[in-house]
Amino acid sequence: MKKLIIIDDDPSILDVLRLVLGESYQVTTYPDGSPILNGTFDLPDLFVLDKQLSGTDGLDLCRLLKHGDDTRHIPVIIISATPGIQAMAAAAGADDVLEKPFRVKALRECIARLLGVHQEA
Amino acid sequence: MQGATTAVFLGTATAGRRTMRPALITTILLLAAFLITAPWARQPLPAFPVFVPVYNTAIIVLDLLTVVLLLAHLRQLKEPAFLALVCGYVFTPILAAAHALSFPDAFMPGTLIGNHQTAPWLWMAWHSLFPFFIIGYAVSRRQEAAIAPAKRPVKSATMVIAITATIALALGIVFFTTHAESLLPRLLEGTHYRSVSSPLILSVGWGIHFLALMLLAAFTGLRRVIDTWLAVVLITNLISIALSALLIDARYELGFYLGRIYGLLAASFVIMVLLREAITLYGLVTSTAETLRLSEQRFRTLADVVPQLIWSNDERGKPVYFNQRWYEYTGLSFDQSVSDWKAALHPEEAQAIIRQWQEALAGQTAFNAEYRLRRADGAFRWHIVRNAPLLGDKGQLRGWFGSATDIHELKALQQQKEDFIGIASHELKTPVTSLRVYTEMLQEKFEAAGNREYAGFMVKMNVQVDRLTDLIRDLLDTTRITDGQLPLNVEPFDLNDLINERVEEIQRLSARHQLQFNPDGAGVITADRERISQVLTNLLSNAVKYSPQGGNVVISTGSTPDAVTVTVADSGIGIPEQAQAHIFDRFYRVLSAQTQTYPGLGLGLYISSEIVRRHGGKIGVASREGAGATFRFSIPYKKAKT
Repeated sequence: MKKLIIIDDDPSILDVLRLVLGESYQVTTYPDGSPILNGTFDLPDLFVLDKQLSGTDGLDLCRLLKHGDDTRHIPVIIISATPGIQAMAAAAGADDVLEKPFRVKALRECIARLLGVHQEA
Repeated sequence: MQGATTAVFLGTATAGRRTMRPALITTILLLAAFLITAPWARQPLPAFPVFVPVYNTAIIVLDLLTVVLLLAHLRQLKEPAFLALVCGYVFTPILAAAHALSFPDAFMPGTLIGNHQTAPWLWMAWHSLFPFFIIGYAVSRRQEAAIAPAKRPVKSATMVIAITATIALALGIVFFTTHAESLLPRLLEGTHYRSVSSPLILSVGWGIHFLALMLLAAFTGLRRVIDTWLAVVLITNLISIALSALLIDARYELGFYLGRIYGLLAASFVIMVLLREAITLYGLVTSTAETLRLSEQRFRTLADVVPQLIWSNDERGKPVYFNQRWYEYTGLSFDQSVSDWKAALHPEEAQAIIRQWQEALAGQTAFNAEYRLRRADGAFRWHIVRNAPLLGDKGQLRGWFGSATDIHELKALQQQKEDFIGIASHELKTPVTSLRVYTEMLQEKFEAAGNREYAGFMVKMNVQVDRLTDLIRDLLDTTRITDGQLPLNVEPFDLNDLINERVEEIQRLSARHQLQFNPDGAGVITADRERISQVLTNLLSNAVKYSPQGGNVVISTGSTPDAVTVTVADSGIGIPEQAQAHIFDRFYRVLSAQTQTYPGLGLGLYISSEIVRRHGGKIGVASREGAGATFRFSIPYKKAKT
């Protein structure tokens, strides 16, 4: 089972993401970016990061991951309520972006695609 | 129209009926006096040779004073016509002086210079050549086309050359008549004029005067005060020549004396008019100064009473005045304000504002901006600032007039409102995300369990969540448009594919409408796919929403050399004509005469028009109430400006 790390400061979003993804993936959730900053996490197959986190910006976390030797190959999806986030996310090295409120179908497809692409590479 | 500057000069003051009258009366009186005295012109009178130098001295003084006054005019107005007059009045006193010196028995027995023929020849030259200067004046005036001040101003060098040449001409004539008089025909036998040569040559002088008078009238139209008085001078000289030489046989007859008195009068007219006018104008200036002082006082009081900060700048932009409110607000003194006004700007805006101001200065265009100004206590407050160029009557820059109005509270409220809408819609998105995920998950579960009824409920619930999502997005977009930050992610994509997607989606929502797409080679365009999709969704869902009876919605594309056009036509309720101009305004909603109301915030078309506009395209509507509406927008092929 593929492993996902999901970071969002809103517990309700973590709840629904666990609900949607928990059956197909092994999901670990964090309310903030401190495990990433401290390096206290097991390497997953994909990250889902909220842009607006308390303390850190999701885009900064993404940049950090994309600069780390052992994490730069791991796909990152940014989720955000801010419209027009695409350009900023792309600049931070994110592999895809989902704008809140997203559709379940879109989320599933996005993750499957990134993991599939990754496996083939 | 005369300019304010030139109107105060006699030289350019236009002749009205009131200024014409004295000239006319003078002419009539002179002519009457001439007609009365002419029959006795030959009456011999005692010989007073000293009369001539006295008369000539008066002429010299008057002419030299006239020269001074005319030079003052010339310096101000720089008109070639005035240079001609100056030369005329420089020419005559030289000949008059020589004439006095050569007149027999005037200072001593015999002549001081030349011989007995010198004086009459000098008199002839003087009276025959003076009209040429008036002709010069008239011709220059014609070239300058009426009253407008000189278009080709006289240069100082030209003045010096012309006046020097005139003096040289006069001295040359004096030299010739005193040293080479033997070459000239004799005009005088003793004190008697010779019967043939004298009247002949005098008639030439008389003729030139007459010609000058005609040309003056024809070329100047006697429009200026000075034109009319030059005409009087010429008429008086005509009389003077007739009396003092043509009608008489010998010196010291009545005509000899009278003619010279006329000559004296002729020499006085221009100077009298110049002086009279100067004094009148001085009075006018004094009363105008008082009016100006009052006007200035009124302006200052007004400027100090209004709550705005007010200042003025000279034509180079240097501040020259600030109202009381400025000093109170900024806490700066006049000197500080002049040297250091830039310190009152907020560091964040200072550079841009200074650049904008310099551009306005260079282009002499009005400066309008909103920026923060520092108060005496160090707080910055938002002001709306305008600075308009103050132009003279010929459009020349005279200075600048500026004002700053405090809009700080307004700005704060506006910001608060925009912030609120922004935060509120952002915050709304999180619960809506949860709501949508739960709804979709439930729909899946019901479908998996074969419970179609509940799954159907969930589909309907999802439609409502979508509506909520759209409303939040519209509110957020509106805020961003107002803030001037609606970024476009421009990329090439196939417009026909996008339209097909949108048509399919909207078609799913309504079975009563038939959406029909007629593609016509629109193909690939470079634009923000998401935003164009938003425009299409908005136009299509409007077409469906405002066709409550169902019917066809026809979407078609077309292309021009520069842009692709998309047309969405429905057969719904249409839009009243008076509403069509406002339909793209923010929060505008058509108030329907029908009882049915249509949901919405009135933002969709506003956002759509902004999106199209940001792409450099156009959007418009054609509609008749009750007969459907046709929306059309265009997107340029070339990469849009973001």
